[in-house]
Amino acid sequence: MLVAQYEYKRHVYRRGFWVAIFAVPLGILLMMGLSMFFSFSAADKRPIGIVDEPQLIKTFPVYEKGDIFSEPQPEFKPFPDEQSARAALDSSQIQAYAFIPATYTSTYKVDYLFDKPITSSIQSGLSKLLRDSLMQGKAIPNLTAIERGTEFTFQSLDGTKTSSEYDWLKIIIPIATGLLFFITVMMSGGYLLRAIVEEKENRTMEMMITSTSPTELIGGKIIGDMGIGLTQMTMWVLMLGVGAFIFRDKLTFLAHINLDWRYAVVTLLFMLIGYVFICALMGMMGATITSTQESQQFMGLIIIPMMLPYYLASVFITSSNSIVPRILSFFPLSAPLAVPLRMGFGTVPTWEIIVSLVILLAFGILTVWLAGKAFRLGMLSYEQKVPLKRLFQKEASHE
Amino acid sequence: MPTVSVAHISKRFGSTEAVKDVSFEVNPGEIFGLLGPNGSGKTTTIRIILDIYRQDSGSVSILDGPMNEAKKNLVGYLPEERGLYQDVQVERCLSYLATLKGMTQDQIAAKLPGYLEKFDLTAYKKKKMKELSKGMQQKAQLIATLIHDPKVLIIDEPFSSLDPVNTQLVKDILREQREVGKTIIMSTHQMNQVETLCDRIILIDKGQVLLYGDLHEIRNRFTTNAILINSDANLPQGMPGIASVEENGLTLKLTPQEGITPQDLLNTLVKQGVNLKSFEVATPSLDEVFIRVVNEGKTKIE
Repeated sequence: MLVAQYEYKRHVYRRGFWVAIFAVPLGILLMMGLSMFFSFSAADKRPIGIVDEPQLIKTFPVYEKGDIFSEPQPEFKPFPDEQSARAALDSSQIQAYAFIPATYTSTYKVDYLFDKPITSSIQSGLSKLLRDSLMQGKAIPNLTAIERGTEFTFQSLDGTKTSSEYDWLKIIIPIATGLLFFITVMMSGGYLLRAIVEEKENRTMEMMITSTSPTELIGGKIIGDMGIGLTQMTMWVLMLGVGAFIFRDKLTFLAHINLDWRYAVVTLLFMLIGYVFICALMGMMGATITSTQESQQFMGLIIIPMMLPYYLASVFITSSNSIVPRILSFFPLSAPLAVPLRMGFGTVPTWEIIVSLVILLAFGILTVWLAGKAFRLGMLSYEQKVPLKRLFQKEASHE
Repeated sequence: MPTVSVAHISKRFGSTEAVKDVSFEVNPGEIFGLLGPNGSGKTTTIRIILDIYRQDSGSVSILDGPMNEAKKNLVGYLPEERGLYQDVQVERCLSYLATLKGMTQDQIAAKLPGYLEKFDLTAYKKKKMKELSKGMQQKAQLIATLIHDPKVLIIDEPFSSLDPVNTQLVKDILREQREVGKTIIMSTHQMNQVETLCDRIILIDKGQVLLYGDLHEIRNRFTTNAILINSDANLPQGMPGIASVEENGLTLKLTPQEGITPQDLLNTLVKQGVNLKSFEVATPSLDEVFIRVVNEGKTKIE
């Protein structure tokens, strides 16, 4: 535990560690801000048509122009029937129309036919318009239904893209969890790899192993670096929580997140085993190589296959059970991201989840064992790399 | 009973036999010199004693039995290549290494300031290791070796990077350690330090033992009849009883002929009226013994 404590404190007490903790979310916020700015600048200025069968809306709002960081507010244009709205949409006079059926006051459902996908401001503007209209109406509104909000069904003009309102939540959760996992594993695994290589480079290793056993040393380092990863994760989750609390009024969609327990358990299992597997892999590499420069190259060898599910995200979204996502689910480096991603976008057969998990677990155990062996063989190899084939040879002695 | 007993150990790395049938014993309260040229197998032998490497054959006993985890705290090791965390403060780094050797924070707080003072490092305790000179880092490494009060000290090149003042300081400390009964195994290339510190030595080359025993006995074994004289006058030509004369600055090395004793030579010099400033029997330096034995050993091994 001494090694773990020292390893943990050595990194956590460094200013750079805290800079990284705050820099990552700040960087993400900055990127989000920039993408918002560019998307707002290029926003479609055409009006949104409204076909109001139950005649709920009495007056249409006129919005003031906001600043460059404000999402442009939509202009709503009433149409007497769906045919005229459709004709306006076909002739590109409007970017979309919302069809409020006569049954709206009992179903609270609206169809949205679009040329360009709906933006959050259009959706919230429409919801507000409907809510205000209901509250101003003669009939006593169903307050619970109003509180829950209108349920939209979206359909593209050519009819190829159909989705319900909160489908994007299904995408955002696996992507966000995967990213969090990736950053955590890369940072703590990276610390482990660098710690081992540095100790070889500055010859501390020889001092260490005459004071503690190699198993305690590598074990302590893994635990210490896992602690660093957990600290980072906790900090980010806390920041996310605080952010969500502060902006809770604007993040009403969070109430619509229904986390499937099966999805949560499987994701957790994949990420835990994946974490140990990738950390052990980095530990093994650290023990076999001789310089920090080499470690950067080896990091790339892990990052690329690990991130393949994200590079090929479009395939996962359109066809989560096609051959590429399935292959990536059985490949241990990509499985921790591939399987939860597939589950987010579709249904993955149970047998595939089990086989993938078993493969990942087997590789996890094998890599932990190999990492221990690599550490014993390579801890004092200052000048020469330990050839991988030596890891698979019978170990006669702890040289 | 010896503190360290090495019996017929051998170790092979691939096709290279690093240590071949090496045996020696180190007694309590002695400074034992482990000598040999570069790549002779000294470090491998040390690593086997410390159980970093496991020997292919033979046995090692340290403090009455094989090395184990519990005994690690009874051994202080100074590796040849310095191993300290470069980006960590001196005080924090030494505290951590002492903790790994089983010391409590209270014990460290009680002992570390004294050691820092003794090695003249108090002013640098808050500096990062990398900010220290090589000599200072060497002293910090020595503190890490000594602070937990080990019974056995295994030190590899303890004088490297040290200036004469600090070399003397380290020598004094090693003598102090010997006086309080510590067993010291010292590996070094500096033969003058071995001559002034070691009680017994072992010389190995290419993994094999070339010399082993008491330092004085070994030097005597290599002593010839040669005489070193210092005179302000030239020697008369063709002096009887002298086989050869070798000039080395102001000193002349006279090698007597077969059967001529130093006393005979002294008598001849006095009779010839040579004004002698000094006269001594030439005892070979350890450097000379080292070079001679290693060269002879090489011929034998090859």
